[in-house]
Amino acid sequence: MPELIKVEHLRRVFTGHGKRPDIVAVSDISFTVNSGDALAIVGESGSGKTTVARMLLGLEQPSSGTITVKGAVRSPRQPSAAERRKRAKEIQIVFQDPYSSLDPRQTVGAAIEDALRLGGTTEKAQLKPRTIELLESVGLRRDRLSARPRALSGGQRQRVAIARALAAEPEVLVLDEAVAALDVSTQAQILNLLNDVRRRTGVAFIFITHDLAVVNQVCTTCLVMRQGELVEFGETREVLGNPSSAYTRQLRDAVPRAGWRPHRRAEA
Amino acid sequence: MGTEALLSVEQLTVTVPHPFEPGERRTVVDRVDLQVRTGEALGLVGESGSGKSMTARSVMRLLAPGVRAEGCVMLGGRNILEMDAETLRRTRAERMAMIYQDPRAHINPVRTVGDFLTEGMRVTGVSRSEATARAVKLLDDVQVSDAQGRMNQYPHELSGGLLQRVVIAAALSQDPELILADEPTTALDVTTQAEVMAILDDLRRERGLSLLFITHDLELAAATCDRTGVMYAGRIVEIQESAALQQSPTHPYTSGLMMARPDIEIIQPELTVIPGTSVSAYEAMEGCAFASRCAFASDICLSRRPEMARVGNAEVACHHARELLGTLPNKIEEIPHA
Repeated sequence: MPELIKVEHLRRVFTGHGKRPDIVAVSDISFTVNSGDALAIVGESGSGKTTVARMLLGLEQPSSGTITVKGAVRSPRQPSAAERRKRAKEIQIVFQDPYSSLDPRQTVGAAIEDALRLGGTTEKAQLKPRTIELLESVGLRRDRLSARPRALSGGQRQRVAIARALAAEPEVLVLDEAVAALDVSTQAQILNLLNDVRRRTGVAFIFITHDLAVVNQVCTTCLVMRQGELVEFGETREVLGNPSSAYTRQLRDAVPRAGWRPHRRAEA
Repeated sequence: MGTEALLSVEQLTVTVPHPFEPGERRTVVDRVDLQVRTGEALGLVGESGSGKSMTARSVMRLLAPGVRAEGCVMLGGRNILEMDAETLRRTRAERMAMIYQDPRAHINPVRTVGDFLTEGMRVTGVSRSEATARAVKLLDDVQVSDAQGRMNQYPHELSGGLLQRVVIAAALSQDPELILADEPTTALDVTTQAEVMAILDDLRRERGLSLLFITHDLELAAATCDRTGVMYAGRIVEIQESAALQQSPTHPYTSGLMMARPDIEIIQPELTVIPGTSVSAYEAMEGCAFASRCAFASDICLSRRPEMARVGNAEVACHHARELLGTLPNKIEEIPHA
């Protein structure tokens, strides 16, 4: 399968001010995403998983290391507007909180149309049918076109956010804790939708999450991070089924399930 | 564990003022009955809007102005909802304690951990040195290392997990009989969650405390509580011993919740979903609130509200509980890897 994203020795240091020491948020991370992959980046808070996602999107510049997208090395400089528009066709993101990632004054239809226009769909005649198509592809009825986010439930808003991200026809969709804020019954619907979208469009996923059960359900490969460092990277089945690192085992054993008892970890 | 109920909630109904129509009220908790025995941990599970937090808050009578709680909340034989201000204040201070989701929102950021822990004791007349000694002991009890040093630290210097342990220490400082914990580990990482739950569990057992544990995580509740109740649309739909609940859910909603959660070991081609979205009590139709999302709903479910009844090991509010007993799935069947 063609190599979509290649990340090599990625590092990001946040410079401390005054007496504060520098913070190494990401240190020497390397991985690849092939087209059609679903990669999970797993870690606890402070592991650097979101910083990696932000660097992939160009929202944050690496201190060192390279990100290669479809064979082209990303320039370490702040991207220009034209460059950003080009990247929009490569990578899109869905954020955790569907309540704040949509403009409360914009209708659902307008939000998706905007994304389509920015993606290069300029013919008016195409806009509306394509918008409806996207909306229906995420399981929303076309009468939602004129709805504003306030009128939608959390799950419906997250569907709109997914439709908007897909409007640019990206090759990679970054999902930053995209189901973490949803109720269990809604979360299952969105996870099914995501699996369905991936099967249908072949878009690759980078799933930033702390939830190993979600990883198991959605992701083919899995990268475990801890305090900015890579702990383990491999096939999800291997990483979760037979972890090679003690830390991954610790994470896995902390997930409540039938017969589980809470226990303390050995002094870290 | 005693057989006496320490806390007994009877026909609790909570209403809030309608946000747009003056004079109108909305029901958020609808005729809830529950008991917590001395030394028992009861988990209360539900999705957002199910009324689980409002139920816990009503037990403490920590309700915003305009919110009305009716029914009985009996703690050791006295109705909290009818106490005068002074009795209520003393009951809250001496007999119960609440732990919230976000420790940072419930601790004064400009006061030290020591100040936070000793404040309550100092008010009740304990000397400064005695209060400090007790606070250090409490920090030891919740396994905070270097307890003496932590006393002089400020909340921002502590991680979320450590801070939640400080909050637990504070909750224990007045030797309460009942702890109300509202999603105490939701903001924490999984390994920290396991740790905090282990500590809470140990302390509760050692001290014979009762616990009402509010969470959205059915597996967590079932693993840490003696009994677990499931709430939907402001009502309790099912309540039974945790192990039995995990083995044989008796309400279709409980079973649906279990099936909707992805599993860490088994990959499903498709997760079994509960269709539609969850509703609050005031959005519920006549009859069973879950009927519109339920695969087993029949005419009676749409017209008559099911009352709680004993079916098998469970107390359950479902017209079809008897015929469904033993048939509802509790977990995903293993599907061999393709």
